[in-house]
Amino acid sequence: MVSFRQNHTLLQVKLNQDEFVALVHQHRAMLYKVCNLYCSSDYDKQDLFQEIVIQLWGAYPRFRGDSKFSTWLYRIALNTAISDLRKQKKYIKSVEPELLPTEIQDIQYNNEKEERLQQLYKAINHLTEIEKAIVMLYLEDKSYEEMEEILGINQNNLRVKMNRIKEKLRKLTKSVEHGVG
Amino acid sequence: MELDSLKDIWKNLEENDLRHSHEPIPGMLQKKSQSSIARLKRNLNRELAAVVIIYSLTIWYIIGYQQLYRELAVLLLLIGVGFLFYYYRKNKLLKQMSCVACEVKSNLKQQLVTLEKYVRFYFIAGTILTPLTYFAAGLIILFDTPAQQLNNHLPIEIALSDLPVKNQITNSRFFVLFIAIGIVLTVSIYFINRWWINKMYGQHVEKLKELLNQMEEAD
Repeated sequence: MVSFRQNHTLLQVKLNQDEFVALVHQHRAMLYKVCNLYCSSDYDKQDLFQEIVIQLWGAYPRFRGDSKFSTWLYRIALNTAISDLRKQKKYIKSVEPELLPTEIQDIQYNNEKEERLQQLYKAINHLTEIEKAIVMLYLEDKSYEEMEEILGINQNNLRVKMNRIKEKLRKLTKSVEHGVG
Repeated sequence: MELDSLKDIWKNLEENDLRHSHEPIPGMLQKKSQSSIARLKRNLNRELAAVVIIYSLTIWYIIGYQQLYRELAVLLLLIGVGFLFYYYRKNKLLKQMSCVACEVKSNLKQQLVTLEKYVRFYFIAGTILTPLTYFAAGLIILFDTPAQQLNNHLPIEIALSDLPVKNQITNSRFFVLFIAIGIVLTVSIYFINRWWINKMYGQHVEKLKELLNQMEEAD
């Protein structure tokens, strides 16, 4: 027979779980972006998404709101994508543009914006794991202060890196436009 | 292409542009993590369970069933206790290895430092334990050989376990053989361990170093 205390605990867990699921659902676009950035195949994306959710769930009881929820979420998502040893090759192997998954490569883009985004994806695939994280946070319009809070790289260093990445992307997208790379 | 001009497109990406199929989130929460650290923890637990079972059965067999070589049972017990320390230390290091909610850089540093400690401990424990067991078990078996054999004439082809060391310690042929096997075993274990640990963790350590270098490049 389940006691009142056990019942109360089960209810608490269920409430926490519902709250957690709602939060993840609310921020799912960000998680998809991380998965798309670090994985090429659909299978790897599913795998990474699941692993991030499991890590978030494991860390959730210790989240006390010292930082913004999104900062906490980014840290866990990026830590899982970047530093997981077992899946390193699978997750963050740079992919040649011609090997990009069909859903990205083969879609016929009708407007200029989408074409540019497509170029960006191709170029980002040539960046290192850390550069990808910086670019993503930059595109998400995070301040350098917030980027420092997530990545642990000081702001001056981040600015230097960001300039280098912009230059690198400019060159890479030129190559992509001209059919190189 | 200017990165800044893509910010708006990026931020307003439709969910359909991004999403991929996955099972419902509540279902995922019931699953086990497949991260390398979680797998190492699970393997360590299995290893512990196997050692406890094998050691208990062996000690029971030696003491309870055969009633022989009590010292060997004690030795196994000591090694078993040593293994419990080995398990405790490895488990502690695995718990320290990752801090997913920390800044990415400090998490990588923590992983690298702890993984290096883990690998060093694994290597030292693995390299020392086997020769130690060989020499200790060898000596106990030899000391425990029945006393009447001491007075018997020992043929040239005698098995090692039939040689009482008290008597034969001065027998250079036996002594050299016993030590030589021990040395070959120690050296082989050293190289096998080095190769195995490098195969298991070498790439991971290098990858973590590379990631940290990428983060510190402009420092």
